[in-house]
Amino acid sequence: MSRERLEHFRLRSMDQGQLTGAAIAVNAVSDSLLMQHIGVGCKHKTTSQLSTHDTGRRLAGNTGWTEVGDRELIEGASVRLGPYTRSWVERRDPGIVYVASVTFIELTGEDDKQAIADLDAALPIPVLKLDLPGYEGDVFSGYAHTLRRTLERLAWSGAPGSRDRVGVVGYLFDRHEGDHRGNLAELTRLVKAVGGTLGGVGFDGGAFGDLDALTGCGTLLAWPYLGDEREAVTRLTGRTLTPVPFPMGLGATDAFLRRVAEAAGLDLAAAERTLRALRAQAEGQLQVARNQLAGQRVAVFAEPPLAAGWVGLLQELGMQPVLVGLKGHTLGREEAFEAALRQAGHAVPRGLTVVSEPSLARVREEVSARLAAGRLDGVVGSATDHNTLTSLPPERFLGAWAGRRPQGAGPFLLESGFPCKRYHCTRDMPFLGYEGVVVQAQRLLDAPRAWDSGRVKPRM
Amino acid sequence: MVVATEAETQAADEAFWKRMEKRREKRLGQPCCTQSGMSWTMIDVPGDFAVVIHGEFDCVNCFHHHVGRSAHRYYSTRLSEADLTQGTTEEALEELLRLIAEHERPEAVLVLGTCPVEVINAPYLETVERVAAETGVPMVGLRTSGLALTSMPKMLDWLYVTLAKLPPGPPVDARWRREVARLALQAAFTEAIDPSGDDALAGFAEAVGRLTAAGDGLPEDAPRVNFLGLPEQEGRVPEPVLVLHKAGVAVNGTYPDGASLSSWRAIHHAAHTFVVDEGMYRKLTKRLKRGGQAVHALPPPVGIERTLAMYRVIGEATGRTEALMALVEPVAAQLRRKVAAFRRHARGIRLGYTLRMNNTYTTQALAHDGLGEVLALQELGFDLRLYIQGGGEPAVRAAHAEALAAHGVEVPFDTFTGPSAAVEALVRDRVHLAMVEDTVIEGTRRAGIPVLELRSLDPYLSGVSANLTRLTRALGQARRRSA
Repeated sequence: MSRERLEHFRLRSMDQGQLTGAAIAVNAVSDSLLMQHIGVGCKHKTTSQLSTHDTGRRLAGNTGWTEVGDRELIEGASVRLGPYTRSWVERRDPGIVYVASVTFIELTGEDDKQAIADLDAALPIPVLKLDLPGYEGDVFSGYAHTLRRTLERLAWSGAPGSRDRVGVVGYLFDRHEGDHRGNLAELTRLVKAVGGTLGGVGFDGGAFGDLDALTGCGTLLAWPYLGDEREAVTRLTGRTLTPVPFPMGLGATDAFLRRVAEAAGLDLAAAERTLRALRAQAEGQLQVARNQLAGQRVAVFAEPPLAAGWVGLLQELGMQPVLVGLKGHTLGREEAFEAALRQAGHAVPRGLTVVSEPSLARVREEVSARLAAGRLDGVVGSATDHNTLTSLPPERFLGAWAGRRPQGAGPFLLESGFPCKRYHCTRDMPFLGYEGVVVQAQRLLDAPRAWDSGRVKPRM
Repeated sequence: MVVATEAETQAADEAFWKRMEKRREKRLGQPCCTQSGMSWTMIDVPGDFAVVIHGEFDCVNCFHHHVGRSAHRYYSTRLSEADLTQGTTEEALEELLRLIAEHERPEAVLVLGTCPVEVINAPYLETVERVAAETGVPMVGLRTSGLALTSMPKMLDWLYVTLAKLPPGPPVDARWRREVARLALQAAFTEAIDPSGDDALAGFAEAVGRLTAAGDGLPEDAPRVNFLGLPEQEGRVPEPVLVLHKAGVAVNGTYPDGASLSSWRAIHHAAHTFVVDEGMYRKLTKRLKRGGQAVHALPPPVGIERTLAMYRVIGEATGRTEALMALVEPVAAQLRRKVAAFRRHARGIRLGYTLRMNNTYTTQALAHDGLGEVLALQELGFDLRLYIQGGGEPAVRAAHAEALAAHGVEVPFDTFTGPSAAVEALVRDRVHLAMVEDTVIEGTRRAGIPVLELRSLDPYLSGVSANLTRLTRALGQARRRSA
């Protein structure tokens, strides 16, 4: 039996499932209520997973739980949905309710569909059932599914607005913090700069009612995180959805704006002049970062769109991505990652190792080997990736065991993705657009180190 | 079709609510999923082991992966819908267990069940037993899930007795290991042991040799003891371990916080085990007693008097009372003067403390029904009020009063239904200072009430000064509110 097969079973760099993705999506709707028709431990898949990552809004205050245990399962769990949902709606006065269940309840053949349909009919607000099996999909498919179910409740039958009014469908709003505020501000700025208007974003942290703005957009952009739901969303809206590159990095932002200008029927020549001017402005702020960061070798652990964004951005700063661990699978694997890089005008870096859905053991192994060989300077990843590295011994780069005076520092650790434990944005700090490149360059300059002797060898 | 009126629906809902609360309302602890709790606990245990979650992959999300030293030791059988509905769950489990045995060969494998395999009654305990026998790797199957609701203390006790039942290992000298680590860092960063000369390695080896020859410095016949449920002091060796060593008592291990897999396997190398809240470890202490250990109850060691009481119990059991009290009484005398001064300032300050909302698997938080800190706060002179989550029916209140009295807590209490109701109660009672759990903190702060987090009081005598400093700062805020 091969060791490689063991990798399939190991806990992964990102092993969150659809229920977590749904919780992230529900949290992105500011007047939502999540009714969890689940067991007691399953609660951790929602609020606990988000509690570290999002300091801006507490989903815990906007969730109910139907407290299903063995007794309730035997007596019939669906009957609990009515009283619990009504009670929580009365307490919280939400604009929309989402009901999520789990596999073990579904296994008993409970007809929660009818219970939820009855609630939807009786209450003055939408009550949506989410279908999120815990044995398939990933966090991204859970998010996209929840978005799609929400979009089904908007009125798409009216005539779309003008083409230059642009809507984004599939934006991954995973916390109410300055990174996303910054992203949305930057996207608004950029779309306006090329002659359009950003009319609506699903999701963007606003209330359910605010999503109606999407129906008035004449151009709808399919964000990469819409994933496999794009076809379904195309059908339900009756509109064309234009796939766009994930605008992280200079080249990717150029490509994004060109696609937006084309899809929205804007003046392409004017758009091109504008984006070049904006890019030049950003480039003018990157010289110090390029000088300091040039040549540093970096490992990136992220889902394909974010991974491609980081690899492109790092290359634009003169850094050298050497290892990529791709998270999840519903947003694609290596092919999707490479296609996203090419869209942004980048080639796959020579010698880059790409691993799909790495386990935490694999993350440790790959990073440790490169540290031991002196071939890694930084790791971009989530708190989960960084945590698994903290038990690696620091002696390889502190010099003590080589008979040299201990000095230097371990790899820099830059938090990105889900979840972030230390990195919280109290002000607008985008990672998208041209401004995003400048901000992330600053972060790379300031990034903390895994271990730091506090000593640097003096240069003559 | 009969459609209920709104009034009928409301009446039916109310009756439903009352039925539901009866199952758990009289207990002070939170219900828990045993899989989630055990996974969460083991993820920070150091050691060579594997934890297998037997279920769909999403069952691994009942605990965090971004904390703890052992996340890379976890596995999931990643059962599919077909596995669950066609009964092929055991093929995946057997394959995984054999892969672990062949390629990792850890000292132990824990296999945790989940709700899906529980619902289909998968025979995984037999699978685990058979593969363990055939491969020679110790493997234990545990019928965990979120279905049979139990309490967090019971779940932890079950996990700990499981670890204590693993094949025994040699004694673990944690002190030796700490000293070697300290020496290594010293060698690396200072000239105390010259790291750059020809004798670098020899110098270091000599220092280590001197250390190991000295052993822990105690005679062979020194009493050897375990601690169970001793509160941790972050980044420090717990005070009782240091004090006991000075008094000539060897500490075999401190459990469960900070214990490694090796420590658990060495738990039987002690004559005495001292327990904070024996009620939390019924199965484990029964096992230790069966192995010939004497088990002694300790009061929660937060605050002066209870910490001194703890040392007296240890002294009596080990015949070291005089030596122990000679070390701690002078310190306690100084601290009593400080506490007396503090009590004068705390008089009249109403402090609200919430109970039974806390989702936690830490022993310090669960011991004595979460009342450890409350007892210390009583010592400090606050006008203390407790707020317990749950129903407010007379029978429930009577049960709470009884539970509190059993722990020696005689303060007013009230009940509340959820986070916002807790804040309303704190405001209604004009509380000056609140110690509340995290889902209530935001609302309490917005209501203008200064907040201290739960479990922010340090234990032992060495924690008293820090507690007084922290509480004095909080008192300042509370006095401004009461003005």
